[in-house]
Amino acid sequence: MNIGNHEHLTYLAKELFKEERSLKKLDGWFRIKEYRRETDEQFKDLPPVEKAGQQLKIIAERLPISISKFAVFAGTQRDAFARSYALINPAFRVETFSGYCDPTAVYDDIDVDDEFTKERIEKMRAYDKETPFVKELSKVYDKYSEYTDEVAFFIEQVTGHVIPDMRPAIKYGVKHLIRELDKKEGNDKQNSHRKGMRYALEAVLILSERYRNLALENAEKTDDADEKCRLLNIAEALEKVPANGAETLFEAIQSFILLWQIMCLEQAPNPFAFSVGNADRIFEPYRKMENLSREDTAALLKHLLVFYNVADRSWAISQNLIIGGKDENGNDLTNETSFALFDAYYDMNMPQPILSVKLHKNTPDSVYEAMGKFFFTPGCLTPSLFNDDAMFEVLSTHGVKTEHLADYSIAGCQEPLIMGKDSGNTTNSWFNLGKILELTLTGGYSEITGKKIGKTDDSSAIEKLQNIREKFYANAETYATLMTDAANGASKALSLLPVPFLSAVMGGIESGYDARDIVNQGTPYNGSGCLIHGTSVVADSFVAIDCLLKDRPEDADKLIDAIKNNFEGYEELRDYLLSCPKFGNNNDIADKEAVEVTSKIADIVASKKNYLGNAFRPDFSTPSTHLLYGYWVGALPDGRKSREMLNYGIDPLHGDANQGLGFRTLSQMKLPYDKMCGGCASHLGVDPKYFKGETYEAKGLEFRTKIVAPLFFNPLQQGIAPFYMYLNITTPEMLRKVLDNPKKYAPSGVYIMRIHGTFVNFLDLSPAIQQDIITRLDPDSTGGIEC
Amino acid sequence: MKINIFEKGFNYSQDGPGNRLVYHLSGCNMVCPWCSNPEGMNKNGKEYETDEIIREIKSSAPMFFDGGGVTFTGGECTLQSEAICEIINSLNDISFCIESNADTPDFLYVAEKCDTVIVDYKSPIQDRLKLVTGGNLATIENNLRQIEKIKHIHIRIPLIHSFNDDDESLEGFTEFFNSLNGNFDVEILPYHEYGREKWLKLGKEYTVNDGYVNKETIKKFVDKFRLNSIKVIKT
Repeated sequence: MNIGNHEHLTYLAKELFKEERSLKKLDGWFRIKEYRRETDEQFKDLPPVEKAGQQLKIIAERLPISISKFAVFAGTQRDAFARSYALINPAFRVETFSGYCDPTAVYDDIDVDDEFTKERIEKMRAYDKETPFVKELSKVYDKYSEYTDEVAFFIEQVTGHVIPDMRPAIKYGVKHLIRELDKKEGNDKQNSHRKGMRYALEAVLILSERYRNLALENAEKTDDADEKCRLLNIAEALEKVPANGAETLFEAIQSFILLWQIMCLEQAPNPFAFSVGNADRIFEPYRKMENLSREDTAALLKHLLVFYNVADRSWAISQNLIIGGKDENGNDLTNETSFALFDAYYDMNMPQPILSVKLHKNTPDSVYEAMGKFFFTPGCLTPSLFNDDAMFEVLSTHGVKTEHLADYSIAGCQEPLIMGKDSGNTTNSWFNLGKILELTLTGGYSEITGKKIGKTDDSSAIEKLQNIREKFYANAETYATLMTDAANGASKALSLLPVPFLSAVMGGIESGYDARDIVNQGTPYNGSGCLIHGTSVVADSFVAIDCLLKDRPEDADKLIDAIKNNFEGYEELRDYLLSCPKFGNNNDIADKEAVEVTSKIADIVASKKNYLGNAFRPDFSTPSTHLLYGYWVGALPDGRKSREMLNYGIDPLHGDANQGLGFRTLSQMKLPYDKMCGGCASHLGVDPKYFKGETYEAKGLEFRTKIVAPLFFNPLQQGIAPFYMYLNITTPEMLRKVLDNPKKYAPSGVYIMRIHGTFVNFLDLSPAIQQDIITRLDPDSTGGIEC
Repeated sequence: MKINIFEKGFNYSQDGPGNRLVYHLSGCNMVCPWCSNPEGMNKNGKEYETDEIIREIKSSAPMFFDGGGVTFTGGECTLQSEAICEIINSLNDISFCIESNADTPDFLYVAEKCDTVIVDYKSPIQDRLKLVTGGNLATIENNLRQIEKIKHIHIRIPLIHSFNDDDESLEGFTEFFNSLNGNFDVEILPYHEYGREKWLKLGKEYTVNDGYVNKETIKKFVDKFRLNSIKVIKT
């Protein structure tokens, strides 16, 4: 059925996006909560996984559904998300943010009106508070609040944040998966879990049948011939998929959308950071079957991209889609769909889904040429970049089988996981080295609140400083144990909410266990993440202490007093500390210290076991939390003042690397990437003037030569190369202009910037985060010199 | 040995081929009013041991991509010829480049050790050169003739209105280039004011009032050079 040429489909995608962005209210998640409450009694005797599957069927049956007049596909994510994500919430303040630890806080994110009255909301909140999950989780948070209040560490229950493998479901159909489940035999627990998965898969069939009927009804009603055609096309596709295997690109995308929708509904509200994986590899076989042109492919994919944008601020955050890369034999896997995706992204320029590109040393020029227009169009989204060559080595070292390497992908911002096989609990724990150093120096007292929250240490100032490393690492070990105990507590609480649908697309059909099970491992790979904050401020602090002890040991007491007083009255001492060597300038002393801090902390974290006995994965990324956690850290010996941000990811603290991009790159190349199996983050703010090419394509190639190749594929690299970076190619002045005059510089209201692993509409951000982006462009750390 | 440097950092292809670690050495024998690095005219940069610089260059090797290496510029780098030569002699595998005004006794001594030689040739008219920059044309031209015999040189003309963009200068440049052996190329660098703020920050008066040259003048220079088979490039 002809639903229009690519230009018309593009027009519809843009209208659909506009319509979505006009949506101010998200209440589907609340209805889902109510459906669960209403059926808790009905299913109370069922084992938990079966109950979860049955309740998903109820959700699929009852949830109100609609099909937009601009839609080409049926399905939406909006019922799974609330208007919660802090960083794009105008009410967000660094000072008051306390994490997402209260699962009932989401009830504050629904507007009271005639339908959703205060009584109705509070009734649901009160019920939720008494559920076993919330009670268990609250116990964990209460037990460790002494440490989490001022963020010596933080923990969270991880929803979303995995990469499902939808390929078998798209190729063979959901009915085939159900048949596979039925064939399996196991113990009672496996049988029960598989039964739950079966129910969950049936939920997709229910939903698709409802959409099919709705499409037919709407087709009957409409006088618009084009719309009727589209609706009949949807109905026709849904007669076949997702129940059966797809045979066209249209069917594959339609199937994928409904599978994704159910997966998100299962974890409502706010299953952030579910990620697609290599979308080009998922969809290319179907494009190829029809020999569909790049334009036509891009037009359909534009509708898939719109699906990832939820309501007025694109609230479904950090859903990552990846393009490119290589197989385990080094063959490049870029294909026609990769380029169609580039085209679709560029033309739509939407805040979601976030785009990543895998590179390797034989990535074809055409990929860099295609990326040029993203990096060099002001206000355009930009991909974050991953180095397959390095990532394969890191993952192999940490136990990933060779045949699974090509399927690594990125969940959320930068966390590498194996598609359909890896339950990484990536954001389970958050470790604040800055705070631990503060508590080490003060003998356990917070500089911020004065509370005693650490280990007592009555030794003299000189003794503390002389033994600072030993004391710091001992404290880090203690806090890491507490942190991982707490994190495991959160994961155990979350296991009370099984996820049979997700399990079915994460290896559960084979294993027979739920992906959240805490006794039997449901997915082939499993781990828990730990995001490590403040490596370079701690390393620079150690170096500054060494310098002080060498140059002016008589000032040891003064240093402790100075940091307790936030350097007020100690300006000369602070100037001295700031002048000491800092990481990021290719200074041997500072760089070696940063390597050691990174390495030792990674070892401490990796020595801790999660609820299944698997290792915690060190992840050196700080997704805006360098700002949030810095707020709870007092002054430090590197000269950083109290409450200022920590360094971002593995980067130097802004302002500390002032020798330009070359020296900064040399410093960063020295870090122990082999130990960063949970991921790492690095941001470069580069002045567009650094690139001289006259076309986007030429600039894209220049970008490879000047930025990517030296960092990722440097023949003189010792050890494993860096494997992740993102860039903003702009200047602080430009962003200030955008803020001062958005009508002139962002007439569409959308000006996309990278914030960490995700990109966002710069204009949607809260002011504190806008300023953070401007500060971290840190031009002195990346500039060349003028001559 | 000590070396006095007022700025350092990496730059791509503007100061020699590929990505280069560029050292701006303090002190200059000329006083060009359009200079974009006036802070380098006096020898008041930071003093380093040459060993320290040698270590830094070694550790920077991964950044010398695309045929890159190290460039000494200034100020006038050949005023610190001993230090430069010590560094060059210690590092056999590194590509070195100098950017010089070629108006010093040690120019040849340093230039012959370098892989790439870039010379600013500001005016072919002795009186004007002397008056405006303090330079000595005979030394410059003699140095260029000598070095051209053994090395390809990249000659840069900073084209400044009312100083060297007139017909007399064009004739002079052409005549001199025609007298060489052809082992060189020429690049025209149209006047810019990157240095203006620096002059003011240093409390010095910026005396160039209208240095900008128009496109037609640049084209005239390029056409004339090309007509005389002089290779003109743009880096």
